Amino acid sequence: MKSDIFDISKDVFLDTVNAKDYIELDRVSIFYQSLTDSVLKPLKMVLLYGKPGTGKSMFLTKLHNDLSATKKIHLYKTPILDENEFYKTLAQDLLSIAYDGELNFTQFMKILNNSLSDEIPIVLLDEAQLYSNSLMEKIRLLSDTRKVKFVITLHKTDKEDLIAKEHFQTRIWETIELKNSSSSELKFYIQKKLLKANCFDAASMFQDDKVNLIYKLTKGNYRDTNKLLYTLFQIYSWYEEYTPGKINKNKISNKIIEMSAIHVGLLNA
Amino acid sequence: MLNINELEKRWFVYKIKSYTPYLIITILILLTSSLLLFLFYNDNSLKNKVSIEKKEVKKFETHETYVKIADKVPTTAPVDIPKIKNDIQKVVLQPSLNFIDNVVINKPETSKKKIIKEKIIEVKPEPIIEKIIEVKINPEPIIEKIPVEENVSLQINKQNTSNDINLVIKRFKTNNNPALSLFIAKKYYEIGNFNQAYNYALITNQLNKDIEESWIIFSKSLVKLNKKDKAVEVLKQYVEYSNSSRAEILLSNIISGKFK
Ligand SMILES: Nc1ncnc2c1ncn2[C@@H]1O[C@H](COP(=O)(O)OP(=O)(O)O)[C@@H](O)[C@H]1O
Ligand SMILES: [Mg+2]
Repeated sequence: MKSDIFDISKDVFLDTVNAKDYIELDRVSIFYQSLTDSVLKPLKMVLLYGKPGTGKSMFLTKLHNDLSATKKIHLYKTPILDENEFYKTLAQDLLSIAYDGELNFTQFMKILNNSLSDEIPIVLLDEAQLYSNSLMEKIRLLSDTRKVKFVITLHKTDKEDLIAKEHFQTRIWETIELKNSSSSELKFYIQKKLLKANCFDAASMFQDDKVNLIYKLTKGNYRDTNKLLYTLFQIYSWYEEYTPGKINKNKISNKIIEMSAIHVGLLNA
Repeated sequence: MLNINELEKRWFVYKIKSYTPYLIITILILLTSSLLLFLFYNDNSLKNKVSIEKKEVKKFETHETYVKIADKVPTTAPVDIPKIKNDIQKVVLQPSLNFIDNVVINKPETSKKKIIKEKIIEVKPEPIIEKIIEVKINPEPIIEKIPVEENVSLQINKQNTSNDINLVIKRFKTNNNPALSLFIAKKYYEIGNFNQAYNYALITNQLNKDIEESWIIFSKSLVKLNKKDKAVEVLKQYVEYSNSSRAEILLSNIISGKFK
């Protein structure tokens, strides 16, 4: 049916994480470089942390996508909460050993130490805040074998809080914090996303003052921005269908920005 | 699916909510300012009424009191300020009659037609409104002292001026320093009260006839009081006497109509 510009623009802001949608944001690119560097260094474990919606999963996905052609790299987007299952999965993926029965930590350590691999495999664990403390401690011990390298992400905001935790105190962690975007980065992000989908007209509707209003509402959080803009284009296509005379296609309306913010809960009314 | 109509309503509520603080502040400001204005008006009209009543009751007493106070002034050098203040409030006519007295004795030629004016200076913070009330006074009790052709009209200008004129007037009453009366004349001229400017300039001239500034204020006030001829006459005499170039310039400006 209708596949107008607003409908297409709307889908640009679906909250999905695909490496092909990755946008090289200035600040993030620097992190990306240091992350790829540290991934290639032996021993170091990498801890990627930040508020929800700051792009951690996107980051890991991009890293996985970029390195998978040349490296042994495995991404686990959802945590494997059962310890036994966790070791079995790693044994299968890293060492290509399938286990039917139980595989505990001591057993897994043994086979890992005995493995003769010329290349250290990289394990990317997203949402690691869901792993238990004891499993996290074991992940650290596994890293110490230098037979596997972990990059984990955490939904944590307070660095102090993290460092207080025992298993993050060891020096083998390298930490990178991802933050919300600045308003100029946000403008770049919005426009780049739309341009990638060939929504040129929609991209030109986001002038600085509009982006500033959006920034005020989302504080530069990518996920909140996605939600807001998804709803915004949804509202636009509704108006386009029912009251096309009411909308100005040169400029995003503040009213519709605020309506979207109310809908997604960024403004309470 | 989105319910746009409902969302529009919620947005409208949100807008109203976000404007309410400003709305409340604006309303509060409006309310307080109108309340203040209202109180101010009320206060003024009340006081005016009171002073008119006082005048009517004390038609003759005013003069007597004046004499008493005039006598008192030189003897009581260190004056009790609150007492003086009370006296001033009760006897509104005191200072100008004092000056009329001087005028009559020292310069009878300037008092063919006498205007006796007095001001009550209110100590109020906001100089907004000026009210003038005319009170006719039966001239008879003053007749032996002042040759009055017609009724002497008394103007009570109620004006909210700054404290300092009031204070300077008080000080002037205690020491008759012409610098002070000149200051008062200038202040009155500045605020457009030309009657009082004229009066105090006149007083200053009588205390010291060599103050150029005072003669200038005096004649400017005369012009403002629609007595251009009188102003020209006075200035001519003063220029002849003093050779003041400022006075000369003012004189030509008055004659040419440049100064109105
Ligand atoms: N560099 C980026 N390029 C494109 N989209 C991004 C980027 N960073 C974040 N996003 C978008 O923001 C959303 C939230 O990012 P995500 O990685 O899921 O955050 P987190 O994992 O920190 O909660 C994702 O849907 C993604 O589309
Ligand atoms: Mg995530």
